[in-house]
Amino acid sequence: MKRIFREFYFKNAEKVEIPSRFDRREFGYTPFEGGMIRHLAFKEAGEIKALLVREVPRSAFYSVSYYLEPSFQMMEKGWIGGDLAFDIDADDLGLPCKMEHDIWACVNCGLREIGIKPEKCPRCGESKIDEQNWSCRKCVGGAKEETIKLLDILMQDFGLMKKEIRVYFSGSMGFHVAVESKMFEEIDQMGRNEIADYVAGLGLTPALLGIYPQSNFEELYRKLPTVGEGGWRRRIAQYFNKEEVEGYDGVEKNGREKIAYIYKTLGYSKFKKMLEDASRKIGVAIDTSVTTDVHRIFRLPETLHGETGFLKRRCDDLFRFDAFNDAVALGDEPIEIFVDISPRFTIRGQSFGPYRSERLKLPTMAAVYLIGRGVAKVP
Amino acid sequence: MASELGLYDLAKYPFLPEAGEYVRSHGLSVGALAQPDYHAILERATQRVMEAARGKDPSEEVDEKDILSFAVSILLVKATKLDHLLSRFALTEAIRVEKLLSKEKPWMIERIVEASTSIDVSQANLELAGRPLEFKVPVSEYLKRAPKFSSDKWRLLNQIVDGGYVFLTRPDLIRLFREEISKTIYARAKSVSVPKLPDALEKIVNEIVEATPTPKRLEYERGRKPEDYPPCIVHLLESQSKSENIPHFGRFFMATYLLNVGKTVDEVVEMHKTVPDFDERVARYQVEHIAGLRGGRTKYKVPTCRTVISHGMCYKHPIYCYNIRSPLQYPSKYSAKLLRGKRKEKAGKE
Repeated sequence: MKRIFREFYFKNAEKVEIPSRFDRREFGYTPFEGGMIRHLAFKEAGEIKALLVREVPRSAFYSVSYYLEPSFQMMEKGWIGGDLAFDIDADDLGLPCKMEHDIWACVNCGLREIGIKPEKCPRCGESKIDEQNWSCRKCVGGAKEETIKLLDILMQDFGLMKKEIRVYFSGSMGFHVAVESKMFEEIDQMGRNEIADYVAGLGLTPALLGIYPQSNFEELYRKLPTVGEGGWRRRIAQYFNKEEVEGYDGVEKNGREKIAYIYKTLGYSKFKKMLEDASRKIGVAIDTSVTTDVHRIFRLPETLHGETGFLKRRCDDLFRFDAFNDAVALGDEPIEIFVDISPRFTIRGQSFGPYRSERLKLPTMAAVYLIGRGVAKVP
Repeated sequence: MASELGLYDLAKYPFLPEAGEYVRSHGLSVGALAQPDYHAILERATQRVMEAARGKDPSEEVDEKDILSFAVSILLVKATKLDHLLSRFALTEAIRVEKLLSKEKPWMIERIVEASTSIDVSQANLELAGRPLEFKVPVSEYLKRAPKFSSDKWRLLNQIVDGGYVFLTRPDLIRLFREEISKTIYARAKSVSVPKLPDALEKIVNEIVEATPTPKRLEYERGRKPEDYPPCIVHLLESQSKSENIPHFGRFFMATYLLNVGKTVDEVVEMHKTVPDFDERVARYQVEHIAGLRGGRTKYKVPTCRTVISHGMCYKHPIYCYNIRSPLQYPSKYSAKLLRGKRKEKAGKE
């Protein structure tokens, strides 16, 4: 795998996207031999590309933050600011296709199967079971929908411009979104926590809709949101407007009447609970810890993902982006491998698998995909 | 704009640069303060400082002599050499400003906020959710201030956010910037140097020192028993004992909490042994790192309740978790008994 990555970087290191203000960022990488090397800093973009060719990392990263001294230890770097970072991972969506491609493995007896992780190993009864998440076109499609929701919030609510937002396919399970904006770069961890919760819809209370436990119903109606408003009030009104509500026969289309009906039917406590559930569904399935953590490192764009061999790739046209085609960087040259277990998967229109304890020849892109996932090896 | 402010305005907001100019032009000397002509100003200045020292609600009565009484009160506070009194004084003065601003015209509110923060506040004149939203501030500026407030009301998600702005009611806008007004006053006072005071003033300074309580140090309870752990930690420990896979944040949170309540690195590592992918070498390295024994040698703080909520790991107790900001503030069974009545009453209103 290292030979293939070396060949790739030898030919393509020039195409690697070097982040802005790179001389203020920390860089790091994971070598094929294991471990993690961090706290690297570079004065020239060429040095970063040279590192990729020389060291051939399994994965390469850059910090979302900018520091006075990026090569120092974390507490001594001197944080100046950072991009806002969002990570959308298909695995968090809990889509039904998981059972077609996820793999679990018993820690005790080593039994490996495709499907949802059981409570206990059916062979030995062990409860310690590892799981490995795979992705398919449906998963990436789901993550794409979440990314579109995120872009709506960033532009409509936070007033960010398109040129301040960069969207990337992560190279594996979803999308990375990086926001570089003067307005937001100095927001600290607590502020980023608020942004993460806002985007994810965590902690919304009925007060945003003008509803309080002691609210008088008649007075309440005019405080409720409508689809014509902005921000989360619009989202809530749109959500309830589309929801099928048993017993509701109103005709009004602005969302308000339906919310009033639901509230009258459920009462405050149940409505509050229902609203919490709704806001989680409406919110974006981001990994909130990524957005909150100012010391996070992100995969370097246009480098290979060590677990798939796919590229982390810029998506200028998100709607048309096809991860299993546009992010595939490796070629068709056949490689002989031994596959322990693999679900069915498709790369560049070619379908592979499922495999079980098989020795076979696969195109480089598919072979690396399986070796990177840890389910195959070169015999 | 300066012409729009009369002396009465400067008396209400004596931290404004224009008020400073007025004091300088008055040519007030320390020696003169002991004279009968300045008796009323000295008395009012003493009252201002005493309000801060005793933690009293600041009065809203203002007259023109308050431009000078503010300057004199700074002298008195500085002469005590008590930094915690200086902080309390700045906060008390900011609370007074908050009260006075709540009755002002919108342009005055914009003016005062901009004078202490240089943030562009604009008028919105909107009404949504039954809230009269008079003002709007950029989202980024809101986020630099509001997350420090613990109440859910201040969470960004519970605000009206649109087009890059957060829309705020008058009291909320003023409250949002109170800290900065306080900081402005603190910085102003900090930069003042105090000459030798006449005996009469020294006597007042001594009275102020006596009236100022020593600040309490917040010390967290060490050696806390497992039955006194907060529900979030109890839940994580239960998941761990069932060998359920706990996300990285959950492990980090547990380790910081346990180390902070007095568990040793060995004990914390031992407690992690049931996790499915346990590797003692890695676990020990990580726990030692969190304990500040490795890497940057910084002991990590326990995440706040808000961060725990964000990670979906809060199992809030309706009474004991009321109004706490950190899992470390969760009361032990003993102190919970004392708190029960008080918090139950408040929590019921939530």
